[in-house]
Amino acid sequence: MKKLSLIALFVGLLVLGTNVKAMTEAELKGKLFQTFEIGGKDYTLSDDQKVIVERYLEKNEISEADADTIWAKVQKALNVIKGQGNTNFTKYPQSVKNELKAIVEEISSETKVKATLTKEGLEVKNSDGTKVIIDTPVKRTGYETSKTAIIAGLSILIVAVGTCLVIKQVKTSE
Amino acid sequence: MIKNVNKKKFASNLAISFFFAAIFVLCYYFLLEDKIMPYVSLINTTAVRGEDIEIIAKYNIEAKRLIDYPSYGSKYATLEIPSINLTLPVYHGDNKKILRLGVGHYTGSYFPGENGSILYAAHNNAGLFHDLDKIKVGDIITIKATYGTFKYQMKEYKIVKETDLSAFPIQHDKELLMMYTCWPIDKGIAGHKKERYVVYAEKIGDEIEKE
Repeated sequence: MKKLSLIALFVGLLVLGTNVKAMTEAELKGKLFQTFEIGGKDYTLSDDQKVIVERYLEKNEISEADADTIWAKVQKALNVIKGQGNTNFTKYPQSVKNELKAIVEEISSETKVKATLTKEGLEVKNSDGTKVIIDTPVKRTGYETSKTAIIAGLSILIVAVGTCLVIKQVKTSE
Repeated sequence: MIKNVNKKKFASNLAISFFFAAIFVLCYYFLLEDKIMPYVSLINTTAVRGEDIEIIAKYNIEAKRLIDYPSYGSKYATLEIPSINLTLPVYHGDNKKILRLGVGHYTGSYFPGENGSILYAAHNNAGLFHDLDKIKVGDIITIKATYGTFKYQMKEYKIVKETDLSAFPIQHDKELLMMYTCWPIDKGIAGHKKERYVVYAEKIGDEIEKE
């Protein structure tokens, strides 16, 4: 079973087409947590993505009107994704990324669901304006050396050149 | 010819200078680094101000779920591990900015008290998760959240590949605290680490202590 990419996650979240409140929570979760077929392959939300979706639905309401608008946009996004044959958003051409980003922005401007595509991933906002960040579970947590390395490298260079010049000066004056 | 001799002397002086500079840097790392880095980490912590919006989360004890969740980027708890003399702030979210401040809580995991997997990350610098590998089985870990205090006991540790997501199971059957950092935990060696040191701890006690 393949895992959904960020775009497909967002698509899955919005492929409701009906008022969230009309469904029981079990029915709602069943719709969102179902298997989606894209490019002949089956995709499903990962367990951590399900946690994020559950939390989003607990905090926010999606009206029928918004759902209708979103569904039309989602159809567009699905066609774009199917055209790529995979859901690996990071490997899409820039033109495709821009196209999907534009669709997400249309949803944001025309409904109460606020979402944008950023470098860090799909950013969705709750109705109170706070962020819902969707990204990967495991982060880079190594020793923070980037700044230290640059400063250390420059320091070595400065000390070395300075020492060299001093030695030269001393020898010249002898 | 005189110019060539001067160039050679200059080059040899430069090489000698680099040698002594390298000796100086090595002395710093081996003799002084441990003493200095906690202060550097402290400077990073106080200098980088994130969205330090502290929202008081509300907790439903019967449902074992939060009613109001802390906003992304906000500090909502303190992590205490007495066995390694560690106390750190815990933030909702684990982006680069947050990981400079303290412990990051992955948004795709549950919160303390929700009877599910909790995934915490921190850098392996001194003052953060540098001594994570010194926690022993049986050691107590305490999370003091704004809505209650929760205690966990270390059960095991694993060294896993960063791509092995099965080592970070997100489940809702029991409360499992997972804390990880990059491995190996060594001094100042730059570069991407492909392994993670993961500590697994299970919740002990049913009662939630409130201050």
